[in-house]
Amino acid sequence: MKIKKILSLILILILITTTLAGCATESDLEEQSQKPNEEVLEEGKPAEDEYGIVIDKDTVTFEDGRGEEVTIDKNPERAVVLFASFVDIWVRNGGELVGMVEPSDEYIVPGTEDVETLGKQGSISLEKVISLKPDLVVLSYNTGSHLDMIPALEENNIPIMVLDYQFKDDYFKISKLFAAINDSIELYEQDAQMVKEEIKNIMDKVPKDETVKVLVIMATKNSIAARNSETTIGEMFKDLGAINIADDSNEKLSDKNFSLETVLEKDPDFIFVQTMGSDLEAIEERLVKDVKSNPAWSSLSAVKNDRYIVLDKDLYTYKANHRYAEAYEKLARILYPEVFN
Amino acid sequence: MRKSAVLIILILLSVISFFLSVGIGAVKISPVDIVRSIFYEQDSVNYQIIWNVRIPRTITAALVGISLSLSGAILQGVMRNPLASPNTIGVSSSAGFSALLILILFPNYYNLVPLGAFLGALLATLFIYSLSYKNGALPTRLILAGVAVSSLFSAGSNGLMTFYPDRVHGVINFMVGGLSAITWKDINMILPYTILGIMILIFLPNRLNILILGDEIATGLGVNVERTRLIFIILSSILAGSAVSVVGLLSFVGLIVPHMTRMFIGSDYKYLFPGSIFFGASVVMICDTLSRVLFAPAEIPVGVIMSAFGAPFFLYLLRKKEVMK
Amino acid sequence: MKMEGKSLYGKYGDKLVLKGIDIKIENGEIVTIIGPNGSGKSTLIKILSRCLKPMSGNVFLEGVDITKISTKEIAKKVAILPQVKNVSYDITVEGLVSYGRYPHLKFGKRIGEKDLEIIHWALEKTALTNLKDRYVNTLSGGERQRAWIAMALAQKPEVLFLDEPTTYLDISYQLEVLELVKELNESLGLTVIMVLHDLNQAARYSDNIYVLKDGEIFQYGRPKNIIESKLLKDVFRIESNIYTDEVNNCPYFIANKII
Repeated sequence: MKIKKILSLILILILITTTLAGCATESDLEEQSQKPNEEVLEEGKPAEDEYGIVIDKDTVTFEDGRGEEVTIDKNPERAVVLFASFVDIWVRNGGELVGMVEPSDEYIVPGTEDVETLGKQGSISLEKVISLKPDLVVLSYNTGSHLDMIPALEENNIPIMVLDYQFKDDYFKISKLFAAINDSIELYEQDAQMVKEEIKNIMDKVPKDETVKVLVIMATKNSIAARNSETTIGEMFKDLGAINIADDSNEKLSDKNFSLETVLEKDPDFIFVQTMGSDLEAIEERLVKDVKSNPAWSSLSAVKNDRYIVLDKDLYTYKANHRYAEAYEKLARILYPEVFN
Repeated sequence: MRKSAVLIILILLSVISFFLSVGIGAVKISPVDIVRSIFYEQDSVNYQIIWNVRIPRTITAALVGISLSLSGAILQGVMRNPLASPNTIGVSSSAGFSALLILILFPNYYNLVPLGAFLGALLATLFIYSLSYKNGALPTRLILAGVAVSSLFSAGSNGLMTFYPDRVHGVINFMVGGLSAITWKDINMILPYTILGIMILIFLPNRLNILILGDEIATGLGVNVERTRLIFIILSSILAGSAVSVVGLLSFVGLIVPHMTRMFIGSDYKYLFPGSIFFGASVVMICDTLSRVLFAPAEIPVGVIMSAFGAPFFLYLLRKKEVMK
Repeated sequence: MKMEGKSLYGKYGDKLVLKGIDIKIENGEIVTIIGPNGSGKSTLIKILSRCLKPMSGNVFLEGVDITKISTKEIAKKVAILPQVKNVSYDITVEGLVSYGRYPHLKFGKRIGEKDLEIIHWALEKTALTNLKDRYVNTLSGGERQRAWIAMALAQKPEVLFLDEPTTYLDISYQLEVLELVKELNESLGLTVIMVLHDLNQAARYSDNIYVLKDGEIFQYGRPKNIIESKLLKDVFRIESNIYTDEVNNCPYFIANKII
C-alpha cells in the first residue's frame, strides 16, 4: 500500500538523521567506557583500605557513586559542596568551603555561616558555581539535578566528586574520604571511626535469640509507605536484628496502596513512624486518614502495647551522620529494654 | 496592522530576548565585560559563564521554543482543533515513559535518555497514527487515539515509579522540564531537527491552509490529504520529540504560543509559521531568563514560569480578540 | 463523454451503499443525482470526484481511469463544492479564491500575474468583486456559496461537482446559486454534476437526472421522463400531481399524499 511505502521511507530518513545526531552521544559513551576501572597498585604505594580508598602523598583515589575510579588532589582551596549532609561531614573532617547548598532547615553547620549559598538542593545555579572558580565540587549521586550538572562541570574542567550516600558504610567511607582529602585523617579516627566502633558494640550486644518484628512507616502529608531493609532507616533495624515486615511484601505496603490488612496479618511488635515535611498537623491528618482511623488499627499488638513510636527527624529522617551511634542506641533501648538501659 | 510589520516586531523581540538571556543571570556581568570576555579573555571565569553556560542555554531555549511552537501550530491545523498540542499526539508522555524506562533498566546510560525519549516519542506517534488509520486517519480519531495512548504511557510511567521508587530520582527533573546545566552537546540533540523542520515547512504552509478548509475541499484542490496529514504529524512529532528529549516536558509552549501568535498575525500559515518561530523562541528565552533571576541563585523550572505568566496573559488576550474557530 | 462510472460498488463506513452503479456524463451536461436519504447519493458523488475510493469499479475522466492520474492533475480539470467546509475567521473572499490556483502552481511557487487575472475573473463571474476584501464568514449564505464556487472557478475546471449546494440556504440564495451554476454551464461549457435534495429544482436545472434507490440506479433520463407519478410513488413514496412550468420549460410536481 502506498502509505506503508511512504511510512517506511520516512522511518528510514528518521533513523539516518538520528544516527548522525546520536554520533555525538555515542562517542561520549566510548570515552567513558575506556576509562580505566581496574585498581592500580604500584610498588611501594599503600594498598586500598576497607572502603577502596587509596591515599597517596598528594592525591586520594576511590570509586565514586557512578562506579568510576576518581583521583582528587588533596587540600583543595576552593571547595564547593552541594548536598547538606556532605557539608556537615566535610566541615567536621577538616574541610573548608567557598560555596554550598542553601541549608534547608534551621540547622546551619557550625562554621559555615558566612559561606556563599548557591541555591536550594534541587535548583543550584550553575553560573554561581562556576563564578566561584572552584577546584572541587562535591555532588550527590542520589540527586537528579546534580547528575544533570555533571557534563556542564566537566566541560568547564572542574574536578568533581559524585558520592552515593544511603547506608552507614557510606557515611564511614565519605568521612574517611573527606578527612583524607583534607589531610586530617586523625579527625576521622576521632569521630566517624569511633561511631563505627560504637555501632559495632551495640550490634554485638543485640540478643541473638529474640525475634522482634517491626513495621517502619514513612509519613508525609501526601502519603504513607513502609520502609524495607534496603533503606537508610531500614538498615538500622536490620542491624539490630529486627525483622522488617515490609521485606517480603513491599508492593503491598508501598505508598500507592498501603495495605492495612498486610500489617494485621504480620502483626508487628513495634510500629515506628518516620516523618518528612514541616507541616506536622498535615502529616498527622494523613496518618489518621490512611491508617489510624481504621477500626482494625486498635487491634494491632503494637498499638495495644503502646509500642507505636514517632521518630525524631534529626536522627531518623535526615542522615544522622556523627550521631549515628546515638540513633542506634535509642532504637536498641526501645527494642531491647532489658539489655540496653 | 500589516502582517509583515508584526513579523518584524517578533523578529526584533527574539533578538532582544536573546541578548537579555545572555546578559542576565545569577552572576552579574556587565555588557562590556561580556563582549570583552568573548573576544579577549577566553580563559576567564566570565568567558566560561557566558560561553559555556549562558549562550548554549539561550540557544537551546530558542530552539525549544521554535520546535514546540511549530509542532503545536502544525497539529492545531491538522487536527482542526484549537486544543491540539504535542501532548495530544502522545509525544510528552511517551518521551517521559521512555526516559523512565532507560533510567530504570539501564541506569548507567543516563546520557542515552535524550535519544531514548526522542525515539519513544516518534514511535508512539507512528503507533497512534496506525491505530487511527482506517481508510484514512481522520482528525477526530487521531485525537482520541492520542489521548488514549497518552494516558497509557502516563499510567505506565506511574507504574514504573511505583515499583522502582529508588531509581526514579533522576526523572522528576525531566518530568518538570528545565534548562539548567545545558551544554553545547545538548544542542546537537535538537538543532538538526529544528533546521530540518523549518526547511520542510517553508514549502508547506499553503498545504496546511488548504487542509484546514476540509478533507474534500483539499482533495478537490489536488492535495493528497492522507499523505499530507502523515507528513505533518511526523514533522510535528520530530520537532516536539527532539525538544522534549533535551528539556523534558514543557507543555505550555506547544499549546498556547501558536494561539497567541494567531491573535497577532492571523491564521494564514504563511505568516503563522514564521510568527510562531520568533514568538516561540522569545517566550522561552524570556521565561528562562526570569527563571534564573526571580529567586537567584535558586532557579525555578521554566515550565512553572511559563504557566505563571503565560496563562493570565493568554486569558487577557482572549478577552480582547476572537479565538480561532 | 466527459466522465463515466462503471460498476461502482461503494461503502459508507461498514455499510455497502452502492451496489453496481453505471453512470455517464457527457461534455457540457448538467447531471443531477437524486434519491431518498440513504440511497447513496453522497457516496456516489464522492467516488466520482475521487474523495472516496470505491470498493470496486472504475471512474473515467475523458476515457482515462482516474486512479492512474495524480490528484493534482485531476484538480486542474475537476473542481468540487462539498457539503463540509471550514473557514477560519480571517480569510477574505479573495484569499479563499486564490487557493483555487493551487493545483496550477508549481512546487514552491507563489501566485503570479496570470493567476491574479484568473482570480479576478472568477470574482467577476460570481459577482463578488465588491466583496473581495470581506471576511468569508461575514457573508450571507448565498454569497458564501458563491465564494466557494469562485474558488472552484479559479481552478479553471472543465467539470464541477456540487454536493447539495442549496441545502440549508434561504430560497433566494438557493435560486442565486442554481442560476449561477446554469450561467457557468452555458457561458463556459462547464460540465456539472450535482446532488440535489429538491426534486423540482433538479427538474428545472438538469439536462439529465439519475435516480438512486437503495444503492442502485432506479432510472435515468431527461427531467420530463423522471418527474412522473409512478417513479415518485416507487422511489419517494408520494402521490403527486405533475404540472408543466411554461416559463422555464420543465416539469414540476406537487406532493399530495404519503403512501
